[in-house]
Amino acid sequence: MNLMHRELVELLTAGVVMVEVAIIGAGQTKYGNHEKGLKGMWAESAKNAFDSVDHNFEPKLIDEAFIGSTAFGGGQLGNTAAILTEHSGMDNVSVRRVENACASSGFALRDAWMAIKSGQADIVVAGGIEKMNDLSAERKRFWLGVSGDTEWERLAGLTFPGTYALMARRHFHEYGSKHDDLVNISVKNHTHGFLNMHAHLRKEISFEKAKSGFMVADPLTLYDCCPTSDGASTVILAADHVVKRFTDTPIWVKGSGAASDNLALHDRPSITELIATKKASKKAYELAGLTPKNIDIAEVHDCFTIAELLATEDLGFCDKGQGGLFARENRGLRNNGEVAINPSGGLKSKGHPLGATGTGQAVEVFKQLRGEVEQGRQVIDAEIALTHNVGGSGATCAVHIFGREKNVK
Amino acid sequence: MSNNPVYFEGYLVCTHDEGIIAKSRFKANHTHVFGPDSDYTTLAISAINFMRKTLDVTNFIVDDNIQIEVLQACGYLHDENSIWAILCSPNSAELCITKKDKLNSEIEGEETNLTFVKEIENAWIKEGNSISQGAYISDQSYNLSISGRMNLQGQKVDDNYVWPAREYPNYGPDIVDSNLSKSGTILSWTSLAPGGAPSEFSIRAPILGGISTVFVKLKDGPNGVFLMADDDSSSLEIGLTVDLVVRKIYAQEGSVRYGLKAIISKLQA
Repeated sequence: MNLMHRELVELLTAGVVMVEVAIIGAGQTKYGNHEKGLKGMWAESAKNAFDSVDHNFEPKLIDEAFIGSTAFGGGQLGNTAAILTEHSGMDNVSVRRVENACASSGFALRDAWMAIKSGQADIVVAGGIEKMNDLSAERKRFWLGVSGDTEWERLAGLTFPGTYALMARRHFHEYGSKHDDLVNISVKNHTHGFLNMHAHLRKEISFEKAKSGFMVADPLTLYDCCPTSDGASTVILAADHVVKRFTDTPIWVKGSGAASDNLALHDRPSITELIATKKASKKAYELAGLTPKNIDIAEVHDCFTIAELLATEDLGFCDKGQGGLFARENRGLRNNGEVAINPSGGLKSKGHPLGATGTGQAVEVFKQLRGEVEQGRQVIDAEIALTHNVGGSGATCAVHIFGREKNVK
Repeated sequence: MSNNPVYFEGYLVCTHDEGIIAKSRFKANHTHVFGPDSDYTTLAISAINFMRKTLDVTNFIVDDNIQIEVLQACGYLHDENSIWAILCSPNSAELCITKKDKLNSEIEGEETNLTFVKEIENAWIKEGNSISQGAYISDQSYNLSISGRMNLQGQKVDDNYVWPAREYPNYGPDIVDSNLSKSGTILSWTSLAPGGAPSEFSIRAPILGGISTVFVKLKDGPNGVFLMADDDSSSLEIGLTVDLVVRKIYAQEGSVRYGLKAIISKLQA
């Protein structure tokens, strides 16, 4: 346990009153092939977030901003964040880009939470953005997989479909899970995403169709892989002593945890679990005073279907090795079991604009917990939600837990 | 002299009174042709490895067709005073290591398609002219780890082997460089569709019909990921024993990068 986390736990245990943090507004663009560029997408996402705050909000009130992005394609590799704030009414706000591969904005969210927790800021924006579909095919191919281990894995022919395929086959071997279990995950997430107006792939798919997709990285087929999406997402966080000025229905950040792991698969003791997920979620559960059984909604990082299967195990929704059975029994389907997994459609259907994904997950749970999602998409009686954002094949991970009620001191 | 070839590291080798002859196992129009990731350099390295099973020799007079720096990375030297010379056949994928004149021997091979061979040759040339637009490994970065790439040089830390080598800023002097055994067991594998391969392989992958990677538990303990040599992915299974052999990995900015690839071992555990 690191010092900051230990101190937080000790202070909470001792009954010391610390500032609590809530989301007061959240918005995003539609994910997909977006007609706007970086500036336009960020402006749209930020405006949607600003407009979602119930009252009295102005961008000039923002103290700090953290924007996650891999700067895919290298178009604006340096000072990416500054050029976004100047086009969204956030002029002169202290801002920086946060880069942790696909977990960039999960970590931006954590940084924003820490900025308020530290007492240095009252109102902080966390967001993310990626423009992936304006590159030539050749350039795009060079950028896909840049967050993996370049020296060894890439020269062994691996990009992320390949690394996750290795994990999948090993999980099948060790635990008896099957590709059909992954197909179930794909079908479920498309069912969820079909009703999400912000989703990239808004289409339901049959089990047979998902099962017969062309092979991308054996055993993973096209329907096991998320799309490459354009998109932006923004959340506004506030300290508890200012929350009431803006909303009567804040969504509280009850816990935050993050961890890292070896970048390359071959340096890890196991390829059928993500240690970073386990460690990050343990911290988040601990701070929130909750267990996996308390979670009603989990937006998990399903860049590939096997990643969702592993997440259900690593986050504690089922025992190790039971992720296949969990998927087979469709226990993650909305309003079908104890926890709804990826009611947004997840990365598989909603889409995966790398840097935007983490805060996009927070946008979803903010709306779910406030009962503001599209008709038919609501997870009934949801009180507690979790977001799980993974960088690459698990080198980094940020987990957050949210609730309608503030943590009990 | 023996004309009975031995299958060794994916090549055919036969011993001779005056040295050895090594040839590609592939033939087209009755001539030996290189497999999709072989050249005279990789063939020479395997031929020397074979020779060293019975003779402790490391220095050779090396033909211009062979990249001396790659040979050096494998622990072998170009030495004008050596009694051994490596002579390549200009029109056939074969060479001999000899003390005297060029050696000859007829060896059968697996027939392959000449069009495929030409397409792969052209792809390597095109690939060598490419420039990275994203992920990139500099010459310095590549060369810093070249012993790990060619010789499987890792580290012995206490009683454990580590590969690839890591930095241990606080550990002290008890870390010893150590060449690991080039053998292991497949823990997992995948075959990538042509479109799923990294950009470095994007010209050759469509011709090969994709590329295959194995996740291997090395005999000495560490894990590693390796492409399959000769694009052979016909019989991949978890639990199979593989050997690691030097092959061409990819080409960029005018130079070929070499490294270890996996080949299904003839001796299964």
